[in-house]
Amino acid sequence: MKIQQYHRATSLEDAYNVLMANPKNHILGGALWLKQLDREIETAIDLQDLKLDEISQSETHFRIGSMTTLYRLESAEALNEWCDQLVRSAMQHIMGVSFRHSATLGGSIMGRYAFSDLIGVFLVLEAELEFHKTGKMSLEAFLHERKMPNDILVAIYIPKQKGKSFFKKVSNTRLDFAILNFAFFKTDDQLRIAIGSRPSIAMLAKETMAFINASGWNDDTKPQALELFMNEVSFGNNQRGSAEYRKQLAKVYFMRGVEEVMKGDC
Amino acid sequence: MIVKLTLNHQEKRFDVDASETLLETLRNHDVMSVKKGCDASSCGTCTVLVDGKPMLSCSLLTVRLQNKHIITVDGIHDEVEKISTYFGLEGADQCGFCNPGMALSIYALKQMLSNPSSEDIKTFLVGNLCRCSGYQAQFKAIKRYLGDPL
Repeated sequence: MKIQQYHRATSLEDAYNVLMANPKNHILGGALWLKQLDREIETAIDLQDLKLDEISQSETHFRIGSMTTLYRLESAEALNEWCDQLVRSAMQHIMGVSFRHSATLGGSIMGRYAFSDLIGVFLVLEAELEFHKTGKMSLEAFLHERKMPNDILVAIYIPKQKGKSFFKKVSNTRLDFAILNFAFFKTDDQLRIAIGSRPSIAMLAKETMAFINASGWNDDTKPQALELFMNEVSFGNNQRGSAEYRKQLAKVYFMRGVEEVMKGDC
Repeated sequence: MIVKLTLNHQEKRFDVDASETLLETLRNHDVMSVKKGCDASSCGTCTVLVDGKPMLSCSLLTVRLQNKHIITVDGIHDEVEKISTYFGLEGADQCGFCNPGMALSIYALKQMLSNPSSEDIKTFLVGNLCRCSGYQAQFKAIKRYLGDPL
């Protein structure tokens, strides 16, 4: 990785203009994986002066600035209280504290990392992304976009929904990337399930969610729900695990996760 | 590119390349207590404090640190002495390569968490790897250090 020039943006518009000036210009998040990339950056654009590291809330939403660090997210009491500690549970499994003091939410999302423990969590929390020019779009729609928006992620919105959560990262060591990760979130009337690091990027298990939300979770529906889940989710091989191994893990943690969030009231 | 920052309570000016990391800047200027381990954000040996927060200097671009306050073990000498003493008493030292990064994370832990549980300590320090010890002696030493007033 080689950076030719550095630009400390004075406003979003300033950052956007520099970003548009050259396809080799790049917005900096936490920049923790940047060194691993074999690429040349003409101008690295730093957003640190734009106050994008704040978490605020309205009656209906939390608004999280894109430069908010992962450590700040796991320490955000109100946010974690609303989501039954789901965000904190996932963050605490991402590398060490020193890493999480630099890594940013925006960097994690814009990187669309397949191994991300965070993307599945924000999928089940129905996150919406706010871009400087493009405006708002759901995280799910963003993940399906073939071409990355040539824009600046400003903030992430999380609707305030009380619910029960379950998160599981399966990995060889605490510092390693996940072999699989799971996020479950159950509100009064909706169950949402995401699975990531398959090793492809996290996805919502929509058919399974629709089936359980319509038919309930009981001894009659459990086998059908599991079958739907295993048919709907694709698994692959990488150095951390085979598709077959992932399938075996997925069966166990799917059942465990749904059982956990279905217990008692939200 | 000139970067002004405070290093261990002293103002410094560094002329750096835009790609240069803080680890490279410090070691290029003979601050050798900051160790280069994995150089890939994973092992914690290069930990420094930036405005009081533990961060990985191998992944911080120096140009982003204008007006920041950087602390290495040289800047918290008395606390490092205490940590080293407990490490010695518990037999937690072998090669010592991880100690500077570990000491800074332990110091940050003491500053940031009050009455941490054993699990809190393990979670906080999971990013600091030691390839010699089995962590048990270090863990005992850390608990003794945390019992000392700052």
